[in-house]
This record gives sequence, structure tokens and C-alpha cells, in this order.
Amino acid sequence: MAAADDRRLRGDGKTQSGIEVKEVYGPEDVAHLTEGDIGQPGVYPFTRGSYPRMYREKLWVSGQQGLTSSTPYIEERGLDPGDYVEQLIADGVLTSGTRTGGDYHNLATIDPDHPLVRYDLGTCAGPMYSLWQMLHGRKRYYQRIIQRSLDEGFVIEFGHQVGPADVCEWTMYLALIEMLDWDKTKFRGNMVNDPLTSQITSCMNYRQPLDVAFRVSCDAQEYAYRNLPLYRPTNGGCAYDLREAGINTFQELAFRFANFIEYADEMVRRGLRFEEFGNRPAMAFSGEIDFFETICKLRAARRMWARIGRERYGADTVAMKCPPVNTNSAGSSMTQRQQILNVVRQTVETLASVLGGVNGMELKAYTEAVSPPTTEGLVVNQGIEKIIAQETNVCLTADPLGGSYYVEWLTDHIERKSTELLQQILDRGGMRACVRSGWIQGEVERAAQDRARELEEGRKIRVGDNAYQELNDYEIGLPQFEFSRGRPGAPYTEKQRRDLEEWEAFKGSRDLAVVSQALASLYEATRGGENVVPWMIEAWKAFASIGEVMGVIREAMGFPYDQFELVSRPSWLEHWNGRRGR
Amino acid sequence: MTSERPIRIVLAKLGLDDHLRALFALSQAFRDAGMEVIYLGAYQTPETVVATAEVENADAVGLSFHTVNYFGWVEETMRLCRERLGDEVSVFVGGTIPREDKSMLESVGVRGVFFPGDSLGHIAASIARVVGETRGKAEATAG
Repeated sequence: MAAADDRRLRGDGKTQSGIEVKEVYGPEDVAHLTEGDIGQPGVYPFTRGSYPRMYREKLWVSGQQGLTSSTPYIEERGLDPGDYVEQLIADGVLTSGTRTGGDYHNLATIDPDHPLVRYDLGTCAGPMYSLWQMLHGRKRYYQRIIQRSLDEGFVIEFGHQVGPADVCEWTMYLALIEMLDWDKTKFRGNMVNDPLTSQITSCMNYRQPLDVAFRVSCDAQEYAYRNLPLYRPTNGGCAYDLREAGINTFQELAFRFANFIEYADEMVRRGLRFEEFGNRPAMAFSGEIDFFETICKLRAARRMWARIGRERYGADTVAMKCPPVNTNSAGSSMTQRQQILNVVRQTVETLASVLGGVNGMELKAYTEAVSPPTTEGLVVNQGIEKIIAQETNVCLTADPLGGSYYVEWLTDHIERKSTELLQQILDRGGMRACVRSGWIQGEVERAAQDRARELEEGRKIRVGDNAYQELNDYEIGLPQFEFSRGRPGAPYTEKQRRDLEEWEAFKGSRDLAVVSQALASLYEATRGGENVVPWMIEAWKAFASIGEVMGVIREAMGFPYDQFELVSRPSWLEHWNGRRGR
Repeated sequence: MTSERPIRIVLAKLGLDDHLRALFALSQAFRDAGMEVIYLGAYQTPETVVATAEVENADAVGLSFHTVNYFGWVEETMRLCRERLGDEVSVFVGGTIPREDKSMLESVGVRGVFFPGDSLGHIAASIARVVGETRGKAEATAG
């Protein structure tokens, strides 16, 4: 290739979201902006940061994956997951918190023996179906993790956007805390708990009825706002997962705030004031490889939150405290080949997140295109975060890019366009109405197709994939997970057989009369419109399973016990037939 | 001529893995390439996929995976496919499949395996070529 050609900028010359960028920006581009738009860090409208001294006050929460998502691989290597997590903490790999991921059956809120689970059992995370596992099974190490949350403020985040799955695991933790007589008001952490996102992206909705998902999610939010002062029971719209489905920056912000408004309106309907909950949901955006778009999106997000608080909910701008803004580095930016380049991508995404003023971060690892993080991946991630925090000096001053013509113009442009789109969604009756009509799912599908086409046509560049493939020729090897996986004639792994054995042991250990009674109470409470959280907690204590708990809630709300309609309510719960319909 | 009939392909994901982004992109790309797409989406079983291929008189089935232990799903689908449809339907697999699994998949009858980073054009062209060959053989046998 000629040297001159190699110095040519490739692609269509627009940002990732198709924003036309001028060759240079000047004062005329920001002349319409006022001090009220930009302001100071820690002050309404929070464009420049959540608090006044930003990273001089405290660095971001580093919330790496290290718990359940990696469990299948940890167990395969003969390690105890609890010891592994403790070791990660001792090694400084997990610092202020960790994120848990759910196994497929758990996310779908069905049991491990459901016919749609089969070979997927335990492949995303350790199966999680009952409190019994945390007291008597292979999940006993959760006791240690939860104790860390209560004693040391170690942040446990639930990384599911599906709502009911989060609420199930979280209420299991609460049941454990109650059974062990610990103080649940000290429980610290956050849940994604955003069932609207899974409906919007058609990813992880598991055919959970929207009404069931929304009810359970909002019951949990209300319960936490009223009883658990340190807990963030939803992120109010999982922008990261929305973005990963293929949408652009404007859609990411607009959809996120449309979800937030659905939940916030419901909380107001239930008698809470915005001041009591409005800043509890931490905002979780995607840390994209498009550097300035990411920075400006984060600045625009805080401003949008603040303006929604003031304009829609009449919040007092002087008393307002900005919620944390977090990012996940974009999994979809990672490539399967030449994975060391993903370390570079993550570094850029992390730097963009920091310059945008994040308060929390979860980095994917270089393996993201093929597997959850290896230990090596987690160590590299910590290195990225620490180098940016401690070597580059970008943390010395708040919002170091504030005032740049381009950055202020782009922040304003993103906020303006996203707010217009948000208004369109509200004009269509809000996000739930847009999900019901199917309009929003269509928008996501089209966006995903557009992104794929851009890469196919070389309008956007991904090094090693659609350009510079010669960089893959000399492969720089990095440690990978050794997957155990099915082979011809042996489709189940050793670990899956162990998981199924444990499931059988669990089922054999129960007193069905006790389970049945607890589920009957949950059924009545759900039908009667009570908050389901305390009743879920009681059902876990009776060792009900996740499929049973959610099956009963689904039935009580008039939906099939199994949303896939492949299994029916267990025969030992048949005596309910006489009671239903009264 | 029968070989000018558009290629009919069933697109699905099996089990609980529902990372649909690839299927969205593929269904559009296949339609652009003149194929007829029967889109099943996620939460399918080998039974629903093979029954659909039969009823729809499909030439091909495309299965997309974003999960580790995908092989059992493929094996079950291949067995059902053979029992119900013989060699008429070509099965293709793509997704986050470890590259070293290609020969294992081919050994159970999968006609094409696609990996992250493969272009949509390459995938569509490969499927068209395989289906063309299968139709050619069928016509030769019939003739």
C-alpha cells in the first residue's frame, strides 16, 4: 500500500451516530449557549460533573465482573468461586465492587429443568434458583459477599436488565439477610432492574409479560426507596444494553430517559416525591469507541436528567443532587481476532468515560467477543483504570474539556436531538405504549441493520475486521478461557451434570406443604395488589424455586404459569384451582 | 427452471440465548441478496425449527449462537433434520463459535460455519453456492 494512501482518513467522515462534523469549530458554534447551560461541576444542570471537585474528591467505582458470570469457568478450573472472589479482592482486581450476571434460566425466571434450558444450563453464570443454594448448596460463598456489602460497603450490582430476574436474586439476598439476622438497611448496591429495555431490544425479554415485569420491577423500586436507604433499585433505563442492540447516541439517551420517566411517573403515582428517589437510579451508558461522542453524551445525559427533574417533576434545582453516571465499555466494539487490540479499544473508551465525568465503570475484557473475562483480562482492566487514574493526570481537574468549542457544540447537539426524540416517544404515549405498539422494537431492528451495513460498506472502520486485516496475520496470543463444551454424543458438560444433580438434591430436600403455603400467600398478595417483595422474601425462605415464584406471580396476574407454555404448574400446587377466579 | 426459484432460509436461535443483533442484520442482508427469509427469532427448539423448514419448504436453516455450549442444539437439529427431511435442507451455523469447532460441525453435516467478523456478503454468497450445489445434485438425480 502506498504511504500516501495509508495517511488517508477512511470511513464516511461522520461520527458513529452519523453526526456531520465541521473541519473546525469556533465561538460562533457555541454563541447560543449560556452559563445556565454549562455552569459549574456539582451544580444544576450538572453538565460539567456530578460533584464540585470530581475526581479530587473521589475516583469512580470500579465494578468489574468477577462473580457469577465467570463461575462456570472458575468451577471448571477446580476453584471455589467464593475463594476466587476473595482472591480477586486480595489481589486488588476487585476493589470497590463487583457485578453479577445471571444464568439464562435465571434471567428467564424458569427452572433448570425447563425444556428450553437444556444445553444452556449454567453457561452464562452459576444457576441460581433458590435460597437453598446459598444456605446448603454451592452458592454458600454468597454469604461472605453479602456480608462485605453490609460491613464494608462493597457494591454488588445486578447486571440484568430483565427486571424480575434482578428482583428474584435481590429478594433472595434480602431473605438471607433476614434469616441470618443481619441489618438490611446497610445493604448497599444497585440493580439494573429495567424490564423495559429488554422489551425494547427484544433481547432478554424471555417473553415475560410486560405487565408482570413492570409490576415486579416497580414493587422492588418502591420497597427499596421506602426501606433501604443505601440501595439503588434500578438504573432507570439500561442505556448500555440499549446501545449494544445497535442504536445510536440520540436513541440511547432518548430511550433511557423515556424508561426513567415511566418508572418515575409510577413512583409518583404511588405517593413518592421526585426528591425522595429521583437521584437514586445510577445512569449506565455505553462507553463507546467514538471518543467525543461518548464524552459529550455523558455531559448531555446529566443535563437531560436535571432538566427533566426540574421541568417534569418540579424539583428544586438548588437542592438537587446529581445521580452517579456510569459506563460499561462497549462489548460490541470488541473483535474476536487479534484481541490485544481490544485492550487499546478499552483504554480509549475508559479515557472517554473519565473525560465525560463518570462515577462508576465496568470494563469488558479483551475476551469479550468470545467469553466472560479471564483473570488475566480482569487484571489488565484494573491496569487500564489505574493508569488513567494515576499516571495520566486527567483526573486533576473537573471536566477538563469544558469550554472547548467542539465539545460544547457536540454536547448541545446531542442533548437537543435526543430531547426531540424523547418528546416523540412521550407524544406516542410513553415507552410502554411504544413497546406495546411494536414501534420501538422496529426502530431498534432497523438501527441494528444500519450499523451492520455501515461496517459492510466500509463507512465505519473496525480495524482487523473490515480494514487492515493484515494486522491479524501475526497473532499476538493472549490467555483464553478453556471452554468445556458439548461434543458429538456428549452434549452436556460435566458441570451441567453436577448442576442438575444439585437441582435434584434441592427438590428432594423440600417440605412441599411449606412451599405450597408460601406460594399461596404470594399468589393472594399479588392478586390483591400488594407489594410483592415481602411475599417473595417469604417464598424464598420456604425454598420455593424461581420458576415457581415467578410462575405464581404470572398466574396471579392472569398470564400462563410458564410464559413459553411448555410446562404447567406442578401437580402439588393443583389445589389452587378451586381458589382461582373467586 | 427450478434453480431460479429464490432461496428460502429459516433463521432462528435455539434455547434461551437471544442475542438477536446478528439475525436482524442477516435477515436484511439475505433479503437484499434476493433470498426469502422465514424469521423465527429466539426461544426456538430443534423441533420448531425443523417443523418450520418442512412446512415452509425451505432450502436452508441458519442458526445463530452467542453461547458456549451450542453443540447439543446443533446435534439435535441435525438429527431431526435428517429424520424428517433427508439431505434436502442445508444447515448453516454462525456466531461466537470457536474457530477450531469448524470440522466438528462439518462432521455432523453442517454445510457452512461463520465467525465474528465475516462479512454479510460472504455469508450470503456461501449459502447461495451451497444451496445451488444441493439443488444441482437433486436435479441431476431426478433427471
